Parts: sequence; C-alpha cells; structure tokens
Amino acid sequence: MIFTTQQFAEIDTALRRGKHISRSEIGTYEFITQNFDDFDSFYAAYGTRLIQHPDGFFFLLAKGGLMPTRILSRAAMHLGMFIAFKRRDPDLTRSDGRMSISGLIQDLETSVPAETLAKVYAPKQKASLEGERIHTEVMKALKVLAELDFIETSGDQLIANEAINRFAELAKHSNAPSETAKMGLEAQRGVVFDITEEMTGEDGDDGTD
Amino acid sequence: MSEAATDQHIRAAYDVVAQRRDFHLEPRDVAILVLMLHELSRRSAQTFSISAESLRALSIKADTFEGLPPAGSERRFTESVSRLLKAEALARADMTRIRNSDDAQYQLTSLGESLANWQVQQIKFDGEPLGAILAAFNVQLSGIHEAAEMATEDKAWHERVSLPMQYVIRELLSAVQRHQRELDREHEEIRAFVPTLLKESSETSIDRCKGVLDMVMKTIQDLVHVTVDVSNAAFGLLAHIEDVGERQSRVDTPGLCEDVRHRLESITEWTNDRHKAWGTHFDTVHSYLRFVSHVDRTRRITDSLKEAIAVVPEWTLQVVDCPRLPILRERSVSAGERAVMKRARRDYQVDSESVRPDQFPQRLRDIINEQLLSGAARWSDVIGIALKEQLQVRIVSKLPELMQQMVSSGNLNRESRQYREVAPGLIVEELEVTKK
Repeated sequence: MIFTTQQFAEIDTALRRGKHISRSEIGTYEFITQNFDDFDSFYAAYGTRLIQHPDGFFFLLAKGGLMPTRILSRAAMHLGMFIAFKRRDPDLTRSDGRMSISGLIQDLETSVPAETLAKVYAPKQKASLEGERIHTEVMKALKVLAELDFIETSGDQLIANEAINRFAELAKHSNAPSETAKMGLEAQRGVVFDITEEMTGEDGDDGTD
Repeated sequence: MSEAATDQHIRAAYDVVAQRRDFHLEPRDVAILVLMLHELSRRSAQTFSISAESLRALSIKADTFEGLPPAGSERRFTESVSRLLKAEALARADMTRIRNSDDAQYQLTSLGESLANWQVQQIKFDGEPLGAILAAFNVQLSGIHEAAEMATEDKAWHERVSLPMQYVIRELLSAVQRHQRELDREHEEIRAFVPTLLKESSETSIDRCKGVLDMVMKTIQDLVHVTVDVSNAAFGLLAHIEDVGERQSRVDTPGLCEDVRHRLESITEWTNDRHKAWGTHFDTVHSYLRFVSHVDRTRRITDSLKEAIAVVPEWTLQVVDCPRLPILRERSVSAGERAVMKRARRDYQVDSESVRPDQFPQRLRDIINEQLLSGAARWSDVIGIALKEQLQVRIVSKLPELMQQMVSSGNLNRESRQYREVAPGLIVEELEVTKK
C-alpha cells in the first residue's frame, strides 16, 4: 500500500500542482515507475490519468475530471518552445545544458521577429514600453515554467528538463498535425487547439478552467 | 655521436636554410592531414593514397570545423594542397603525372603521417601519468618510513627523513598538480570537440562521440580508484612516520606530515570533483543523443521548432492546477482590542492663526528708495543699513530679491563694481543704481 507513505504524498502533491517528474529526480522517478499501476488506478478515480511521455517523464492529464486545470499563457508557450529549440543546440552540451537567462532573453530578441515578440509578450502595450513589458513577461513565463518543472533555475542560469519536449509536440508533426494526430495530441498529451483570449497572459496569470 | 652523423646534421641544417625550405602550414592543413590519416586507416590495408575528390571532401569537412561557408571552399582546398605539397607533408601518388588535377592521387609523406599521428596523440585523454606519479610518491614515502625507523641521530633524521619529506612535498606533489592542470585542459578540449561530432549527427560520429565519452569516463573512474588507493596507503605511511617522529621527539615531523596529508586531500578532492563534473557532462551528452540525435537525425523537429517560434503560438498545453485555497487570517482580533470605527468628523472647529506677512522685503524697498532720493543707491550701503536691523543670515537669504529690486528701481551704473566689505567676512561686489 503506497498511498499511506510519505513519498506518495510528496509525489501526489507535486503532480497535482502540474509538475513534471523527469529522470533527474531519480528517487521519485523510480518510485513512480515501480508503482505505476497503483498511481494509475488512484488517479483514475479523479477522472485523471498519469501519463508517461515517450521521452520518459511523468505528468498528470486531467480532462473533465475532478481536478482543476489551467492552460499555459501564450508567453509561457512561446518561451517553452524557444527553450526547447535552444536545448537542441549541440554547443549547449559544453556547459552541461546550462543557459544564462540574460543570454536567453538576448537570443529571443535577436531570433524572433519583433512583431511576434510584441504580439506574444506585450499585445496591448504601447510601442515605447514594449521592451520593458517583454522582459517582464519573459521573467513571469520563466517562473511558470520553473513551477511546473519544465526548467530549473538558479540565479541567472537555467537548465531545461526532459519535460520541455512537451513544447515540441507540434514540431514533431512539422507544425501541421493531421486531424487524427490532433485528436491524439489532445487526448494523450494535453495539447489544446481551441485557444481563447485567456491565453494572452496580459493579466499575469495563466488561464484556469 | 659519430663525426659522420654530426656532419650530416650540420649539412641538413644548412640545406634547410640554403634551399629556403618552407614548412608553413595553416591549422586547417594539419586538420586535413589528420582526416586523411583517418580515411586511409578506415580503408583496406593496401590503400596508401586517396583521390583529389576524396581530399576535396576532407577539405570541406575541415571548413565545417572552422564554421566557414561553402563559398570559397575550392580556393581553400587548392591553397591547402599547395601548402601541403610545398611542405612535403603530402605527395602526388600518380607517378604518371596526370595533367588533369582532378584525376590526381595524393599520399601522406612520412612527415605528413608523423604530424597527423602527433596531433592524434595530443588529444588522447590519459590519466595514467597521474597514477604513476602517485604510485612513485608512495614508493618515496615508503622509503622515508623505513629511513625513519632506522634513523636515531639528529643528522640522519634530517638527511633521510626531513629533507626527503620536503622534497616529496615540493617536487612530487607539484608534478601531480601540473598534471592535473594538463588533464583539465584536455578535458576542456574534449568538451569543445564533442559538439562538432554531435553536429555531424551521422551514425559514425555518434559512435565516436560515445567512444570519446566512455573513454574519458573510464579514465576518470580509474583515476578515482588509483587516487583513493594511493592516498589510503599514503595516509597509513604518514601515520607511521608521525608515530616514529613522536617517539623520537622530532618537532618538525607533525608539521611535514600534516602538509603532505593536506595536499593529498586536495588531490583526492580534485579527482572527485572531476569525476562528478564528467558524470554530469556524460549524462548531458547522452541525454542529447537520446532525445535529439537519435530521434531527429534530419533536424526536421528542430527546424519545425525554429519556424514555430517565429510566429504567435496557436496552441497551448493543459496542466493540472492545484485548488486555490483561501488563506485565512491567523487569529481574529478580540472585540476588546479592536479599534472602534469612527465616522469622520464634519463638525470640527477650524482653529486659525493669523500670521503677519513678512515685512522685511518692504523695508528693503524703503531703504533703496531712501538712498535713491540722494541720487544713487549702493548695494553695500543698503546691506549695511539692513544689517543694523536684521540678522546677517536673513539678509543673505534676501540678497537675490534685493538685487532684483535695485535693478528695477533705477538705472544700473556699470562703472561702479569694486569689492567692499560690508560686515566682517562678508565682501560683496558693488552694485550701484541711479535715480531713473
């Protein structure tokens, strides 16, 4: 019976906060792997599923169950995709996968068209204040990504975890998934295509169901 | 050395200068030599030469190491071949001297092969010397231990224990530290080299990358074991030497042993640090191989991500959200302590105090007018009169106002501008106005 153990309580709390559990947390990862069936049946009662992504990490997927959900803001999505892209740079292995946050922001400003940056990070901002707003929104988005364990931050450094690959779900389908693939992504990967204005993240929070 | 051999060397040296032999090679030329050696070793044992076409492909590969664009690759290839031929690191293998250079065959000369081999030797990450140094250190320490057991006189102790111990500390352990620095440098070079293999993303380069990582990891693991074994043995020997020293009341022994112990600990710490660092690097590169190299060999996903970040995302991810619990106040304040709320008073009495307006500016105006009646008003005179009635500090604060009043009350006399002392320590430049 794992449900009365402290380790279960800790993992359950983390998963309910939307956290992703990667191989880097070896003890926790092992515990879930060994007791996957127990976890699965436990969350089934909530109408929720514990998913093991093909890249190895675990996360909870709740659709219409008892657990509340939220969707990530446009800023968090865009930044997640950008970090997933940067993580695929072989040169990053030299620094053991560590990126500097200031460097990341600079890269973002040079790699992404200014118009896209403004629409994603400062959609309702005057042009003169866009730069400052973009910086603020990027920092907020980083906080969200760190809270969900997509990344780990320490000072000016960040390391992307395996879970960052969730932001490459559409890229695996060359950004144009078929209708069948879309259904699979919605059901198995927690992808949402029907997006609303809640996603803009202008108020600083992600949308909540 | 025989006289004939000496003569040969001198003639060779003279020959180099006389014939103006030019061995100048660019780094990319040496890279081509190494790639050529690799290419030849990959082929069957009978092959000694490669075609111009294959050499061109190797030159393009060297271009990618330098991050150079495809434009100009042919020029760089021709220049490299020309330099290599001139330096006699490369030779034409087609004895018939085919006119068309595209049909030419090239082979490495003994100089070219030695250069390439030397370069390969340079990047071999080898911890063996460090193990050997540490083992030699223990042999030395063991000898000192034996000498300590036998030394009974001060002189013998000094010559056979104290001095060798100081030598051990200075020389052997310094050699270890030098070697550590060398290993660190090699470590950095390998770290820089791994991304070039990952960028190639071919089956061969991935295997090579894994090979390099495994080799370094094994070397470091061996080094950790050697260091632990050697230091354990050394700590034992040091304890014995210290015991003998204590028995014979040698005052310098504890200090020397402590110094060696301290340095040994720092070596062990260094080895453990590098082991940990390489473990992290090993995991990072293997994670890259698992999630990027193996699943995205053609970089289709990476390119799609690059395209995706250029536009506003039209999809999102759903994540579980913990219920938001209301945060309650810690304790409610008891009724007795709670401050009574009061309606703001609207019937209050306004207490007013009448303050007389400042009379001093007017007094200054009067003084100016009085002075003007006599024909002219001088800044120093007005201040002098005012000083009799008011404090100096008050007057100083009104000087700008006074100046404005004077200028507006009369005509400015530009000739009267000498300095005058109007009070002890208060010197002003004169300002005189005459009646309008």
